[in-house]
Amino acid sequence: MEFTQLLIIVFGMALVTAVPRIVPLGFLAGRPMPIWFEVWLKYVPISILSAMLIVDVVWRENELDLSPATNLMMHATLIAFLIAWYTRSLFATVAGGVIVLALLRHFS
Amino acid sequence: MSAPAFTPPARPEFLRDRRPSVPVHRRPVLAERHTSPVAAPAAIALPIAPAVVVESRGVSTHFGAGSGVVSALPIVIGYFPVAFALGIMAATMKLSFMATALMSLIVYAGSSQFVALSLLGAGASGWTIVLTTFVVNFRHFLMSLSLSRHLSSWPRSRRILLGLQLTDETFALLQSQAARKDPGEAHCFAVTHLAHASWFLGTIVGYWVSWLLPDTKQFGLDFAMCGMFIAMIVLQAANRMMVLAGLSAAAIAITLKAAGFGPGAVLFAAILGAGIGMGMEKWNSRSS
Repeated sequence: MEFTQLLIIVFGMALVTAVPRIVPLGFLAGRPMPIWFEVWLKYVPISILSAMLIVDVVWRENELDLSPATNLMMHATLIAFLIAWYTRSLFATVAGGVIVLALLRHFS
Repeated sequence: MSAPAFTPPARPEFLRDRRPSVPVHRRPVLAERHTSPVAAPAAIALPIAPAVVVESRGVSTHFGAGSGVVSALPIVIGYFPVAFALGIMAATMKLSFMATALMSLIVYAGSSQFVALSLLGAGASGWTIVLTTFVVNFRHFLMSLSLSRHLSSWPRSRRILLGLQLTDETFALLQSQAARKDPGEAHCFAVTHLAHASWFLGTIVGYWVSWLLPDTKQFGLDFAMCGMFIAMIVLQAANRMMVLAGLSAAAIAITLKAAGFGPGAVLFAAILGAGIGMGMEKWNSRSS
């Protein structure tokens, strides 16, 4: 692939990524919105975070991996949830999960 | 150091949201915040982001560049190895260094960059790559929308700048902080700039030292991003409807993925999951 062609693709990617990122913050902030929409928006963060998390955890190498024996991420996730629930600490959750996963990988 | 008590997202905020007669930009809280960003007493500033700010012993409990740097640490630590892996992948594909670095600088969206690389490797057309990138990254529209409710007192130029650097992780962090109180520009930009720098530098270093090929996986660092999502989910899960929305979105996402839905799965799952939360809330308020 030619370099100029590659550059055009990269700029195209940048454009289609930037526009959805900018438009709401730049041009929809502070506008009154319908009540149902505001209620819906309230549930967007937890929904989007949950969807991203589950895909990260159980979608391994392009297929569903729900086996506790091969998918060590699931154990780390469970423990990280417990840590998050009891400590309410971002740092403890991230550190705990990373350590658990590293130990599991080391001993399996 | 004992873990700080968790304060769930304040009820009044939610109640205010249900009164459309008060335009967001005229909300008294935001107006006051805008005129005196630093003068907020510590007693008020403290419970805003207990999970992140209070942990930073020695750093001010006010929001500012310092709290931003501390908040950004998990993201910086999480981004670097992932960007490193991206750089390695680009180098092994013999993609030009300039294009790789430029992509991390101006596209700056992790998963879509990996997808783009694999599409490039498969010889896909430019249109396919750009269109796929659009679908994969459109979820940022929802994030930007969600964040815009809390930062409406900012000047537009600053909101646009922040939007440009919005990623899954900076959104997760900033939204959980901004939902309680506007953290201010210094804090937010410290977070986004550091995260961006980590991603950019990680890509470059990965590209140049790809011959080292270290297995970052053995350290479990690939879990850093998941851990961050988990902490944010738990902070959001203030009531049963929130939990239900999250569980629905997760179930839908994985179902769509298993059905071969590809890049749009997360986006659609988030839209539907939030819809289920909204439906539950409407239904609850009607039946009670």
